[in-house]
Amino acid sequence: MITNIMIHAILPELIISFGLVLSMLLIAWQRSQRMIQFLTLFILICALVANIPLFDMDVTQVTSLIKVDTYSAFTFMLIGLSGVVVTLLSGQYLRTKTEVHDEYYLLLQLVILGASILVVSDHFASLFLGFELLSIALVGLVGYIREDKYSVETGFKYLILSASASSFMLLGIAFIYSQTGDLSFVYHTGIVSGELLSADLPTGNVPQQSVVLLVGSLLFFIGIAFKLSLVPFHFWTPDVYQGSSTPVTMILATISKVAMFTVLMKYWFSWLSYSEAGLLDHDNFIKLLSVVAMLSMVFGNSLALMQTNIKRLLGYSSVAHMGYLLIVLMVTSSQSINFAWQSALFYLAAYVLASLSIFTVLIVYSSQRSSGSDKLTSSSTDDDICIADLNGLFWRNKTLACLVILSVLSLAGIPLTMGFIGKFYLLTVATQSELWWLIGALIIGSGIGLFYYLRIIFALFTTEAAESSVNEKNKKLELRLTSHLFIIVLAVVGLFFGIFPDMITRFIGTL
Amino acid sequence: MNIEFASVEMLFYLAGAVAIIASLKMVTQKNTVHALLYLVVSLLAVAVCFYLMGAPFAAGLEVIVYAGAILVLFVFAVMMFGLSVDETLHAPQSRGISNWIGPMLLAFALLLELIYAIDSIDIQQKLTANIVDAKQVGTLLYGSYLLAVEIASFLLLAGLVAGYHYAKPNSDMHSILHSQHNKNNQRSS
Repeated sequence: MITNIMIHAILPELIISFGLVLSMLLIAWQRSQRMIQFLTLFILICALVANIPLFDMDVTQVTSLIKVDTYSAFTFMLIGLSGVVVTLLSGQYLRTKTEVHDEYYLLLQLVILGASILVVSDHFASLFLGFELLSIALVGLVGYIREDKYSVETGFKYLILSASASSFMLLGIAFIYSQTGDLSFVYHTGIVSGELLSADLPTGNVPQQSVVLLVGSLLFFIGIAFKLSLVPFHFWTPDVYQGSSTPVTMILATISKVAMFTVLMKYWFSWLSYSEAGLLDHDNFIKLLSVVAMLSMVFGNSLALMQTNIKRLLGYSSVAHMGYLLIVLMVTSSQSINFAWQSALFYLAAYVLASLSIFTVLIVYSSQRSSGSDKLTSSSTDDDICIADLNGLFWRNKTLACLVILSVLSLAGIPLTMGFIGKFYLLTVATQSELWWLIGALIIGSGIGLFYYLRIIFALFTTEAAESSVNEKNKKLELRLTSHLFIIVLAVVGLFFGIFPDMITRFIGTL
Repeated sequence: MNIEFASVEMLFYLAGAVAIIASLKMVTQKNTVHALLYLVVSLLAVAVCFYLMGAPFAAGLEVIVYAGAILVLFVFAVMMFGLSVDETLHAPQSRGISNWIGPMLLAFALLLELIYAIDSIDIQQKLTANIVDAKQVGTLLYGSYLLAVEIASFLLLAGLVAGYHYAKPNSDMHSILHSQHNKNNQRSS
């Protein structure tokens, strides 16, 4: 039965669910652009506050579906903070569009609920439901602005690809279930059928039955890889990134990626126990994972090289970053699992902060541009920000440009940013497990990455502008006070944790 | 293991084959209503599979929910679209029984299977040995899987909100909230 402690452990999810009901009641009572935004913000902050005590809590199993531990509390914090940032920026963005706001916030809350279920799930049923909740709510969001030229294309692309990803995953889960007879991640000796155990342990060969388990895990991994846009499954990423409105791209880049990677890690590290019991040939799968990781690093970075649209560029760069992150899955012994978790959490935190910063700049910049210039001519191209559009931004608005520089350097992994420490963590994991090929790919990928990241920074300082738009280019970009403050806060946080990374390291270390 | 014809396993694989054939025919049909005929056969075949696995409750749900309710919804949707010309343009002309002989044969195969399974005492004994009945399913749904049911309700909500947003007419709320944009909107659409 569900006890008080269990309710305490899933309080953040419960708050968001309750908030959803409240939001619907609010919509039924009055459709107001501001009120629904404030309510969403309030709900998210309440959930984040309810999440704080979970850091001191022991691992809590809530029925068989959900397991709350400190790692999931940390990732929920990342998800909730990204949700807060997205909510703050969405209001400003939506005001430039003709679409109603209410469903947007409803879907946003559903995305966050789905993501938070994913990070605490300990069972394939809750994983699949969370996965679907995240996908379906995102399908509604990516094409939300229906008058955009890409709206239908983006929505359909995402709908069909995420549906096929889920069907792959479901088939994989069925295969895994057929072998283990249990849907929960954790390996229970008693539940796996006795004959499987006794038949496999003494011989040590690859048992006949584990092939099905391997295929099942492969299919399951394909489903996750779609969402993480790892290399053979990355084709949707740039189009959807470009086609959806910028706050939604922000969700795709932060909330969806964090939740998916966390659940992959949860599953994978409990899967290690299968291999230690001799049920599985683990090495083949590791080889496959490293091939996927290497391809993602090299291809993601190379494809980003010649992109002119910033959102497409960030899409490809996210492919590369997820490739880097896969390194933490290659640990071979269960002793280093803790360190792998810490590295992954730090890297995710760095990645989320950098993505949030750069997308914030894009949103603020594009809404400023659309309100400054003629509405009718620019309305269709609001979201398409090219690198050339940022030309000379530094001379027009120093704060905005500083935030861009900081986040881009963090993505590239230059010292004094969080991204550097994150990469350092990954390299440590890789050297501990002696993955020289992956280290090579990581270095080559980062080298290629520098080219396009630095291209953005060079653009910021370019002074020459086209003759026709000299006046517009020289004009100072004035920001509203609130967005100005917001950007300064983001920049200060990024810089602070870049200089003092051990604040986070120590915090993660206590988890 | 010696292969026995007319054992539970063979019947199961036969029903599975019917489901696969019907699904393939469904996605290759040009006419939506003909495709729906194959779809209902495919769903019934899956129900027979469930029955042969000893889950008559799931089989009943499959028939009632999918073959019954959801298919009727599909038929309504097809009728509501009103594709008067497009619907008949690519469709083959009525050639006697050729349009419905395929689904009918498949359905007939299922019927024979079912009659055989019910008639044979041997199979009935095997099937009733461990039955997953409605009570067990209910206990699980309201016991350890309670949270899953709740999450599923939010999943439905997400689908509903997203679907409504895409499908709603272009200018119901706009006319009230954004009257100044409305003119612009209609021109573009």
